[in-house]
Amino acid sequence: MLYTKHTLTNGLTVVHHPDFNSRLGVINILYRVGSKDENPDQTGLAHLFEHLMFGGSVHIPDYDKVLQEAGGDNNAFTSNDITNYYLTLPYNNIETGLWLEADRMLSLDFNQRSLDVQRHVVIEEFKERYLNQPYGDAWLKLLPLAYRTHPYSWPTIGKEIGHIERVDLDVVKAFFSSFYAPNNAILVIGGNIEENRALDLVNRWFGDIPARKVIRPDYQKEPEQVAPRRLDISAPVPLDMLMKAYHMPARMEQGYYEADLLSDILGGGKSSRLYQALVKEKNLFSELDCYITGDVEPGLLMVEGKLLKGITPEQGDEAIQALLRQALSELQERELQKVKNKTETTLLFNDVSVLNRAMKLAYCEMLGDIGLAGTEHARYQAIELENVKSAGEKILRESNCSTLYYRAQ
Amino acid sequence: MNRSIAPEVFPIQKFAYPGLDLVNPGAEIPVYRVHDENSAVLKLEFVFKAGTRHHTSPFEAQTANALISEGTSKSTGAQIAARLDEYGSYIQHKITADDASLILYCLPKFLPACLEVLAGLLSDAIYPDNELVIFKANSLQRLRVNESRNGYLTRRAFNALVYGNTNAYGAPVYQADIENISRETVLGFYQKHYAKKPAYVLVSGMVNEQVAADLQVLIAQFNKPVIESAPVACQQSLDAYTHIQNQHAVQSTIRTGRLIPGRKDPDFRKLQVLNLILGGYFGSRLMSSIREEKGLTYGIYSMVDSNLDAGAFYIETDLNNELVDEGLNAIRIEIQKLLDEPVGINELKIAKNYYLGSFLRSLDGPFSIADRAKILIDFGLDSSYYEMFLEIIQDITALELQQIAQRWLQPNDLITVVTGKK
Repeated sequence: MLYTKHTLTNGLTVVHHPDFNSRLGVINILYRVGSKDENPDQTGLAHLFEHLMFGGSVHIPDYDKVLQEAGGDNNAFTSNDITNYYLTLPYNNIETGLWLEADRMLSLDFNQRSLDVQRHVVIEEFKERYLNQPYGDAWLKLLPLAYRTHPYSWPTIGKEIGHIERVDLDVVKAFFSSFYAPNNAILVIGGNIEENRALDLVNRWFGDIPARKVIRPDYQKEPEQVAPRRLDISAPVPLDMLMKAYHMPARMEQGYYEADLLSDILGGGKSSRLYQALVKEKNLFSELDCYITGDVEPGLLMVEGKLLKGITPEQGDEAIQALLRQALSELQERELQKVKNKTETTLLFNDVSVLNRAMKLAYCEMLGDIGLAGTEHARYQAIELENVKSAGEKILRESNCSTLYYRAQ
Repeated sequence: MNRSIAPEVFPIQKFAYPGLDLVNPGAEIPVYRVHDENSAVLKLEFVFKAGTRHHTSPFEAQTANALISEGTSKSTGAQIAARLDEYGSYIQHKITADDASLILYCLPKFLPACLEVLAGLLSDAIYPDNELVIFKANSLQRLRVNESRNGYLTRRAFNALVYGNTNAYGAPVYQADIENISRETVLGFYQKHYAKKPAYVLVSGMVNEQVAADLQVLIAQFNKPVIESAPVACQQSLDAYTHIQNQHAVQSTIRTGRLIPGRKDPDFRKLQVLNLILGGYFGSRLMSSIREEKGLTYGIYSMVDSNLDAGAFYIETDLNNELVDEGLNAIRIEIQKLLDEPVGINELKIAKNYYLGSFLRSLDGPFSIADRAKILIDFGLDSSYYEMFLEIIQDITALELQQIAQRWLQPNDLITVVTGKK
């Protein structure tokens, strides 16, 4: 993966990633702010803020119009850990994208109207995705069960609609000032553009944006879970569902890659342990998945599935626990090699798109090791069976698990 | 530096679509490739005349597609899955009304091994009884979950009303269709539509000479499918408004639209441009008015879809149950404006530039180019189709768009489906 890294005097990290086979120019700006940086009484703010970033900036009233006129497109997402904005443009119009991004990093045009509208839009999003879908509120229930003190205990949309309704302009301004500073951002510029030109343009538009003091609220680490937790709820859904959440190591901690590979062995694809045993052989579940949340701080290894009619969550839960014990005791080299091969394929397919590569570079730089963008494959390959086993023994204990029984009313 | 002055915007340079690269001219089964020497991966799409339009009983085509890798006379489904997983590869099963595909994603080093597995699936799938039992039970469960979703219920009803509820484009799948599927019918469908009969292969990524040669060896064992299917005849319903009650819904889903002739109609591409302005991108009129000005919804969009023989235009959104009338009214106003007034010069310019840019994006990288190639192959078009599209976008006028609106967006021709709590 070709890249060069620079830091402007105001603290903005700039990464250049060329691809002269593309006709596009890409810009990815990652701000080091996510829902974990929110106050527990004011959740959903990072995500609401992502919406407000499109409401006009100090010199440019309509972000989208300008970008679209230059043939560009953009989007953004907010996670627990970051807020990420990305743009693609015809390569000869990339400067328009930099102009737009620099202006909103300099200052938004804070106005009550934009706030009112985007609050409505986000509340509708809350309803559409979390309240109006079967099982849509499952994460709202599960996260506070798994996390007692850490801010991962609420989803990025927020704990409740009331928090979003109560946001006022002062809160928004303070949030901007704390987090949307050049010294809290990583900019990747890539695609069909020479390094010198890229750096000149970035310097031109971002160079004189003043650094700001980043004020990050303190939060506590999640204490180790010592006893099983369970929540039993029912709602008007067609089938019973079961979710199990196990605490696992942080993104850069020992054991993360092991847990990722383990989740693939257990639940990735049709030849996986859980699928073969509980969907195919015992016919307990119609769907069953195992995956990791992939957070920067200690995240979750998830097992979740929909039960076949007539099977209770208790029966499904018991079968999963037995299967996990058995899997750990029988783990084979062949299974490990298989998921390593699949990981290699996934990583290489992901790298086909220049935009994906730009995002990955920004993310790895945020993690503190930009080199990871090109070496992650080797990290996975180096994991040995014993490592996976011992990671699994630590993680897959009931006392480390929060279980949600979601029953059909 | 004056930040109020925008950098210069340059026009998007014309570019040529690379065109279809046929690896084996004259062969029975064409192999098309999109080769990119910088790519490290391979995507192979095997396309079959095995869409739902080819079935004799409902859900047979979906079942044959989904279970093709669940067992051959030599290997169980578990063994097949284990082998493909060992090679780090993925198989995607895809089915539409018009055709069906098996798509293999793999690394070039594992291609020969993957092709060996695939050759088994394409000549010797046996559809074991126990796999069928599991598939039916799980499909029924999925259908039950879907039937509690507003979006699913709305789309199902809309398609049946727009295309007609007895043809492949509009017929819904019912629980009884799934329950009634038998191994014999599925096996029969497989023998006729899949076994050694791909219609063509489209391969993209690292398609060097070795890959092309390996593929031709495989293809040499197969024969061209001889399958005729009558054109899908569609008739839109006269029911202008349908409400579906969903007792537990907080929001309602609205879909409003109509039947259109589809891609081969001379108006289709102009309608695509009009659609973009109405609801096809973030800066569209619907998004601006209904999301960004009124905050009524998280999202609203419009689409033009095309099957081989017919297509549909529609607008869809989700909003609070009590806002349905307000939403429908706002949609009506936006449509009426397109009929009454030509699109403004600046708005048209922005839409054109955005469209050209997204066209560029949709042709970036071998997989995107291959997806575009599939459209050319399926509709029997040549690569001038895309080059002319650039000209159509550049040349279209506000007056022409108004005529297109008057021809295709007459309020009386649109039908509406709403699912939610009333």
